[in-house]
Amino acid sequence: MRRVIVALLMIPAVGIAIDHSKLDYGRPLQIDDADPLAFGEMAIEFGASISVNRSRKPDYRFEAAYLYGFAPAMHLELSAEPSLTNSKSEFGVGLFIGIKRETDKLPATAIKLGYHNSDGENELSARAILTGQIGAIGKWHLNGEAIFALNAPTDQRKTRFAGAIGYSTPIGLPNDFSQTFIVAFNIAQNTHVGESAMGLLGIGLRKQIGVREVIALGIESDLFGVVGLSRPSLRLTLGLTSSF
Amino acid sequence: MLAAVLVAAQFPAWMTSPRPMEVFRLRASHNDAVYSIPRLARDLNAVDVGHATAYEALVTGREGVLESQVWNQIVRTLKNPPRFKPDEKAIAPTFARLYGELELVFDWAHVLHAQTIDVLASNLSDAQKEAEIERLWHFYRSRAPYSISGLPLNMEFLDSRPYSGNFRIKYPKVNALFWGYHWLQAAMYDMLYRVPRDMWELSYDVVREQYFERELWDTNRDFMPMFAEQSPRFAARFPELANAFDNLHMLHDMVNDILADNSLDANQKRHEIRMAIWMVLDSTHANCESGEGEEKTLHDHRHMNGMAGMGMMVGSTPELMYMPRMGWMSMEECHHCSMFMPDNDMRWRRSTVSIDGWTMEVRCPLCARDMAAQYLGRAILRLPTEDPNKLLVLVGDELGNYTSTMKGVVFLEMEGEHPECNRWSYAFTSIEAFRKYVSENPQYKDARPYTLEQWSALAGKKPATYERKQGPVDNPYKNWHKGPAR
Repeated sequence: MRRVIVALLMIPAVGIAIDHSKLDYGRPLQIDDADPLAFGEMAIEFGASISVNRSRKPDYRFEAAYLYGFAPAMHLELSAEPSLTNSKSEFGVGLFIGIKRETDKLPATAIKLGYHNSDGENELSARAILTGQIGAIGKWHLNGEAIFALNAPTDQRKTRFAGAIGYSTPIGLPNDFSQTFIVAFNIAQNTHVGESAMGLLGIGLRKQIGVREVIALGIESDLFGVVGLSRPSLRLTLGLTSSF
Repeated sequence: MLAAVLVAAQFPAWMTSPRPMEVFRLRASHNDAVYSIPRLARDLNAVDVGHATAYEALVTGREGVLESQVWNQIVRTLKNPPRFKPDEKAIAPTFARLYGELELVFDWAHVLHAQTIDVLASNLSDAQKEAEIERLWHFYRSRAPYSISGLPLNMEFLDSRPYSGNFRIKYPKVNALFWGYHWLQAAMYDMLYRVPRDMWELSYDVVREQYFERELWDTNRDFMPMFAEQSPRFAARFPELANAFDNLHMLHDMVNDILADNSLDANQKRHEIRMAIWMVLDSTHANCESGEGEEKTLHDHRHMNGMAGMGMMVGSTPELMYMPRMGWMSMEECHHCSMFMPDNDMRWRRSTVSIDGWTMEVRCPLCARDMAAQYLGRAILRLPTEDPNKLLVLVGDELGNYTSTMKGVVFLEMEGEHPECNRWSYAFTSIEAFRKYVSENPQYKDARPYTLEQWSALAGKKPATYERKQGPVDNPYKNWHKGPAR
């Protein structure tokens, strides 16, 4: 079951852009918004997280990512997670494609295609992303993802689905223009055949701390589907993004 | 003619496409160097907030409180500017959603604005800065399809649309803020261009005082501040950038006027905004040349004589224009003695004087000092020396006492007739340079070298050559948007 937790909480966190209002997968919550990196923009990201549960030792993770807007509305993501607490190292490659920006009638739309390798286990993924305005300054976000395990054992799903819904809003306006509050709910099919889906709720803050630097701070907790483990399982995430 | 031009308008494909197409700025070591002048950087950040806040109010039904609550909110930000450049889309999400194509145009031009200021505020040499600004201009034009034209456009034509003038008439206080921002964004270029680094903060003291004491609140300004009126040295060296920034600011005015026009429905506003964008796009004027074009049309690319970085203004001819607060004038002549200004290879010999919100080119240090003395307030004088690479910058107090960080500066002032004033009034970086000049020009052998303090206390005679220009009307902007133009 621990593997289940890892599958949901430790999805590689690559994301984009410098704006604090930009939702950035893993910085700090596991949800994307539909804005691609600007053409020519590069960013580096660092993230550290700790997952805690009363029944096991804390799990520390560190990850780094590089992003490059190599074409209009498209960017490439390269991520790596050297392991700190076990022998598992992971890396991923992603292609983010902005399909349309938000207009008067329709939300912004994007897709993200990914390849992820975790200790020899290969996965491909395709994520659809929608973002739209809600209220005066808020944004809603919807992610739907299909993940294809290329060499899954027989007791695990070869294809599973995940989704996330989130809300973000700048906070502090009109006096402070440097921070965004985020809340997201994730749900994902269990990697193991026959086990229930998992749910996760998180809140986070993205704050600009430098001319081109944004930090992200978040806390996520599983809500259901983690059979056999004492709750809560929490993950704290701290991320830093710098674009150039 | 107008109808034919407008009917012929073909919106480029990107304008009607919802595809995201943001382009990142040129990657360079000078990026964000404006933060070396922290107050300027923060004030510019507040300008971004001001723009975005007003636009969001205009498109979310808050126009009724634009002159009260929204104005107060913007002013609070201007007085407490943010540390970092704000994300305008977070402040104005509705505006960005409704007018995404306009956001692209604005953002890309604002990137050029920001990066050119970064270059000027960087540690690069003057020559490197000029080369880098050329590179930025090329990058701006070539990297994205939504760049604004660097050609002079006829401002009278652009400001004669059916909706023109709405915003400034209905929302004079917020319009004053917009024009105040654009004043600062124009004035900051000559404040930095070829100006020694140790004079930036001193100069910004004066500029900032003017910005906060008058420019942001001036509801009686006749027209938006023009770039070449505020930064004539930079505009002469980089006319395409000066024109692009004026065209950008004109686009802001046109958009404001459209949004403030209650006779237009949402679709009509969107169409008019696209039309306004189209009129200022680089691609719209692809085959046009600066200095050419049919009078008072979209493709009127004539410019003021002596200033390729300034298009035709309301009521102007290439020889004569009306400058708000100053009256009619020629941009080829000294504004103090009316003699022709040095040009081409000798253009660097021009001096400028900035006071009371305007900047004027003059022929010599005496003209600069004496012209400044005619006005209340603090002045900045930018005077060439014998070395083309060393500009003397003087910052004055209310009484006309000047300070500079250039040590050892001395002046020649042996007043004679003004046709020769740029020979008998001269600033030198050192006494040695003064002596060399006098030895090469024996007619000044009896001249004494004045220190800055001594020179500041001098006053010349009123130039006999001065001629006050007269235009066809007293002020062409009077009733501009209340009379036949509408």
